[in-house]
Amino acid sequence: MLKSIAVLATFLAVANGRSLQPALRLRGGVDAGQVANGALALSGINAGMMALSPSKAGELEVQNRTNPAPTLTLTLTLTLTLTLTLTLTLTLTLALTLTLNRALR
Amino acid sequence: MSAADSLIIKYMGGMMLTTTIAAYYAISGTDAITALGYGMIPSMIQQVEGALNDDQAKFGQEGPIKYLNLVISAVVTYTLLQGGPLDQTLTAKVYAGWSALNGVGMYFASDKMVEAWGADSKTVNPVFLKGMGTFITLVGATFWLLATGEDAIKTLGMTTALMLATMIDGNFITGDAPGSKNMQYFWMAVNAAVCYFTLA
Repeated sequence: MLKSIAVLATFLAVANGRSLQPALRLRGGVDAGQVANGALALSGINAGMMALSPSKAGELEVQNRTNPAPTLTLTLTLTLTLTLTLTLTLTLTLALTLTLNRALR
Repeated sequence: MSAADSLIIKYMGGMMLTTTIAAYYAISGTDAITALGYGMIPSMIQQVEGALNDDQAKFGQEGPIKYLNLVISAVVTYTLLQGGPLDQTLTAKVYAGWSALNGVGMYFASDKMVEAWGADSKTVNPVFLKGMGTFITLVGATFWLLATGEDAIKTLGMTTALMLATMIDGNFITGDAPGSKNMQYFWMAVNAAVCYFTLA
């Protein structure tokens, strides 16, 4: 699916004589305010957990560094993979939309 | 984990809420002093609750010093939210300095700072005390930056950079960072990304 979108987006961009780079530049497309709000949401959840359930938060903090809990590792891996996939999909969709928009003008 | 350890984590959560709420309101357009006042509310609630439950005794504190932090926080919160005889901006700056002094002291010399507060350092895991120092310093930095008119998003970026620096210290220099390496690396990546997008 992702490969097809990427190939199609690239083909249209090249056919249209334009570069995909502006659409793929994440920093240009991400608003600092949105990043700040996202970071604050994450921070708020973490803080709420620490303030309301300190024992549980403490257990997570003091677990053995050399032998991290497999479930935690798995959860982190899944979260990171999902985030990466979503980001990639959104970026490619945006690129495709922009390219199609330009091609249709 | 001891009861004192749990309390320290709870207070760290309260301080994290302080910086988060203050930054959120400041970014949303609330004036810096009011935003800082709103941020103080969770910590105030925790301290009143702590005083009622005599939590300070669990750290070995005795006498009037048990209530010093509560009194200072109450005066600061009231001044920031309601005004009063003290100048609001000056109060925020002085509180920033007070927090920085305590935070940096707690980070680099936990035992001595805990003793200065009339508590027993043996009651708490040293790693948590160092963490407490980080969070107190972050409160100080947030107060200073917002009170001196720094942009709210830049303030968040700078305090995140400070947090990232302490994580780098804990993981690669002193090697005493709590939690799993995966968790530490994950949060370092998140913090680095926040710094990049808010400060660059």
